[in-house]
Amino acid sequence: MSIAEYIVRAACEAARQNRLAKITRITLEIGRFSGVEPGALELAFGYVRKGTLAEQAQLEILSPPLLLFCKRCEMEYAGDPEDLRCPTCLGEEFDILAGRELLVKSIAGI
Amino acid sequence: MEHIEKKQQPVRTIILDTPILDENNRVAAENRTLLQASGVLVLNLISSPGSGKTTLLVETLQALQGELCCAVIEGDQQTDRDARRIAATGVPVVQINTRQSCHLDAFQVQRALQELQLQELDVLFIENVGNLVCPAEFDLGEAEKVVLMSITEGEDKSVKYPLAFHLASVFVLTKMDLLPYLRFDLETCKAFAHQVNPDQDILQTSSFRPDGIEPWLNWLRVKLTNLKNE
Repeated sequence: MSIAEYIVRAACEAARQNRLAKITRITLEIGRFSGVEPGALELAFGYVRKGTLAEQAQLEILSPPLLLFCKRCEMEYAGDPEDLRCPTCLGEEFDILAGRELLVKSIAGI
Repeated sequence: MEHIEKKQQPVRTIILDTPILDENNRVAAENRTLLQASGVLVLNLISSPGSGKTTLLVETLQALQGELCCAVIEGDQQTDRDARRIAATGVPVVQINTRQSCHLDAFQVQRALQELQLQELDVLFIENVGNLVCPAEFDLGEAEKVVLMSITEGEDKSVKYPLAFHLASVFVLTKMDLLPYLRFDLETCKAFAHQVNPDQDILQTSSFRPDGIEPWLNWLRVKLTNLKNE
């Protein structure tokens, strides 16, 4: 709920700054390896947007997949959230390159 | 009659790229700076409801009495029941009721810190709301995240909730005294945890047994020594 409130607040502030009368779409980036569940967020968004410039806005959620970098192979690999180790060498040292995003990417409106 | 079509306003797109947790992360960084300057070890305890966080804390506080100065921030949606259990040990405790929210955030912790004498503390335990999802994402300004799981919850919690286990430097298994009565395979549990966090320390505890929480107390002592030597 607090995440939905923050999204609506950030979107409405940007809309006012850009003199939009209403927001028609909010685009988010919620990585696959983030702690935010898109279904729950959409539900909360439905409540929070009431009475704001985003009242009729559609929520578009982009979900970047988990991308990791194996320090041993020095290769990028698509991560399995249930097993983050490198599938090639079972290396246990890795960096997360993508999948942790939590961003308001853009808004659209008139 | 001539029909005059109203000209439609064009839709405009505005690029923001605003991090959703920006405000929380900024306040968490302020908390961390304050707590590090005060030399307090701050641990954010995350688990499902009923894993035994409060019981472990009560036993921990009693065991450390006279050795270390501790305090607790208690997060629950409702009631001060856990705070009263902690207060009975004589340790300072601040209760936060999150109401509709399923996690603590850095703002709530910042307000709670104002009620504590940080200079006098060695360890501050933050008991998060019982939930393995959202608490993982909200930085509070802690030094370490601690994930707890009772062995009644099954071996595979870590792969079902990988982010919480990935971010926690230590994994405390609780209620180990129930092992003879359960179909719980310790090695399978450890292997799952290893998949999402190969560097994690895994500690076995039993809050109701004499010396049952020693591995956890020793882990705490080492962390605190490292912090003081930094």
